[in-house]
Amino acid sequence: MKDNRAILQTEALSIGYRSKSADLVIAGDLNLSLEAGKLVCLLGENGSGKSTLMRTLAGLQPALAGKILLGQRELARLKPQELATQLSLVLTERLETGNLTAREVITLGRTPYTGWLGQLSDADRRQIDLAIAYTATESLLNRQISQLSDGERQKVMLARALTQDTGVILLDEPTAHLDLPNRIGLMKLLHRLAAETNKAILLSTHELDLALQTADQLWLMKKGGGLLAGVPEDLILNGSFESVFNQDNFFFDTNTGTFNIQREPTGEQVYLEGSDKEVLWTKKALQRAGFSVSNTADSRRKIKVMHIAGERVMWEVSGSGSPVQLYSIAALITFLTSQ
Amino acid sequence: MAGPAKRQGLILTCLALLAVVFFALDVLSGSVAIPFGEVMHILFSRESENQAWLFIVEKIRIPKAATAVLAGCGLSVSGLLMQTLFRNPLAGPSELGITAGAGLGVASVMLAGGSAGGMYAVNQLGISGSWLVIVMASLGSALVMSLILLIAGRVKDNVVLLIVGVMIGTITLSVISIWQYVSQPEELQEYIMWTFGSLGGVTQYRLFVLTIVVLLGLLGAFVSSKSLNALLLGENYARSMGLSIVRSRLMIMASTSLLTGSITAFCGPIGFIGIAIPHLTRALLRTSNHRILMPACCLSGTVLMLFCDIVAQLPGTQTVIPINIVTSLLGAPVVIWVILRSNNLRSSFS
Repeated sequence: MKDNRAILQTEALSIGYRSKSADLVIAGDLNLSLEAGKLVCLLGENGSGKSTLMRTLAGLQPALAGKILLGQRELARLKPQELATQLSLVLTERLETGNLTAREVITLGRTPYTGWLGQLSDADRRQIDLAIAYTATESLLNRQISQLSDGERQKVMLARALTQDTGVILLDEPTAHLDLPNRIGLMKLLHRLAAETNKAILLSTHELDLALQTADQLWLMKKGGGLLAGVPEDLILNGSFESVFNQDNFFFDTNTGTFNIQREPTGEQVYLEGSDKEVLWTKKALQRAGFSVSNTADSRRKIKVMHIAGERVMWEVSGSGSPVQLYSIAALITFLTSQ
Repeated sequence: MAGPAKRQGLILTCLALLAVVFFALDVLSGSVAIPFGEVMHILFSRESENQAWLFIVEKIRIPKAATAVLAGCGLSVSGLLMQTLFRNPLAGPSELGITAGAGLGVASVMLAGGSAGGMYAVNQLGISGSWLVIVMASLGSALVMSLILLIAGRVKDNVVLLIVGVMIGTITLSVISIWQYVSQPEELQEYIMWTFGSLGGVTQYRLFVLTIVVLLGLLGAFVSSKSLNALLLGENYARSMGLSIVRSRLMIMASTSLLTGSITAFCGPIGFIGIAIPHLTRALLRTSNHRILMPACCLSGTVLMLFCDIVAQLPGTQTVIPINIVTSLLGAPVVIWVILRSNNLRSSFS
């Protein structure tokens, strides 16, 4: 795993918790590498040790064994201030800062560079302005941090990390409290930042879809230790993704790249035909209602989806008496289940 | 940015002016009526035809007002330091038992060893005696503070920590009580007088000693402003920004112990200033930035302490009530207000 572009590397790293009786190893023998200019997403179920790995890489928690190398130097040997100029953090913990403005919080990112009075130099100000421009937080600067929405606050915390001007940024579940537009916005921003500023950005997340679309690399953490790293598409094609996430009640569909909830086809089998889009959505609805859908015409009841005059869609059910015409999926389900 | 900064500048200027006015008023008030013109004359030229007036103003009232200024600055700043360090709005020197710790230090000097101790003996020791009291009181404060910090690491609930602090204060006071019980009556009387709190007992070399120690504590506090601001984001963020948590904590604890210890040693336990002033100042300036809060707390602490001292003289009467009673009467409602204003103290820190 030796690589010239790697900013952060681990060698036989073992993470977990130390206690008097015995060490609790959460994952061992990790050989990882974070490269400059790449966005890496760390995925894994709850309890797989994502946070422990993040905390260990951030130097907030000692490693049980092995080494973490930042550049050429060992992380554990760096002074807090040296570490602060190479690695910055965005954490999930809720801030209880009281009355600090967004600008004051962003300015705190310069802490490792300023003297004991915290006086800002021109270089400090340039870095702050740059971070504000990247994150588009200009309009928030004079507002109290406690009055910002979750999405706004997350952007401010990212701006603070950027202000710290480090080669590596670690984000612990940055999308956790955000709604969908904010989640997408943040992931796009992080991807752009990694590419444009040549930083190595590692974030842990539960957003599988978003991670698949934006990450340059994925780290998949398995429950019970072990970590699979690679380009998202490779991990899908070689089955790693399925091995980590497939469970009894849902499965990862490698054809569509989405997670599907596995349903027991308890109800009767129905035959469905029609144009692609309508069949797709009708099938989803029927499966949810407990029917199993087949594409061979040997079922008792047959459903035909067709377009009638204008844009209207009609479902025609045949096979039990005379054909019945229905004009919405809701009506179709009601009809099928009432018999 | 210009808006809030300008407003803050204006408030700081007003506070500074108020401090000057109250200082003059404090020097003016007392059981002996001295005309306003004469007091001003003495203040500026340091001479008067009436030698008694000159003595009263120079040797009693000015030192007392100066002590009020030192106590106001020191206690407010130590309250501010503690509230940020413990991330707890209910932290303050008297609330978490730090003052009681200082009291233990004082008792160890005043009540210890029969004839060897006692305030009289301490006075005989002169400057070295004053230093002894201050050192012991500061050590007592530091002892309780370390204990609280140790417990604060385990207890995340602010109110629980407050109760633990009150309990530790009670234990400390009980230890002092045992000591009192076995002490000589004359030593006891002095100690009890001390517990009422007084700004008047600090004269000449003691004022000199107090000034040096309080300035030292304030210097430590001002130097810690940057760390305190980083600590506002929580310990993990502070550490990720290169802060050495241990060193910052030590600095903050040392400053708090010096400030609380020295002021308590000479003025007795003065309650509620330490917890109330930071809240009032934050509400007034609408900021948690320590670079602004630190000088602002000094100014508003000065103003409120001088005001309390003026009230304590009960203007127009010959009676003087102990300063501790006045500060409690004014400060306790502020604490109630803080508790009522925030349903969830944890999320509304500061």
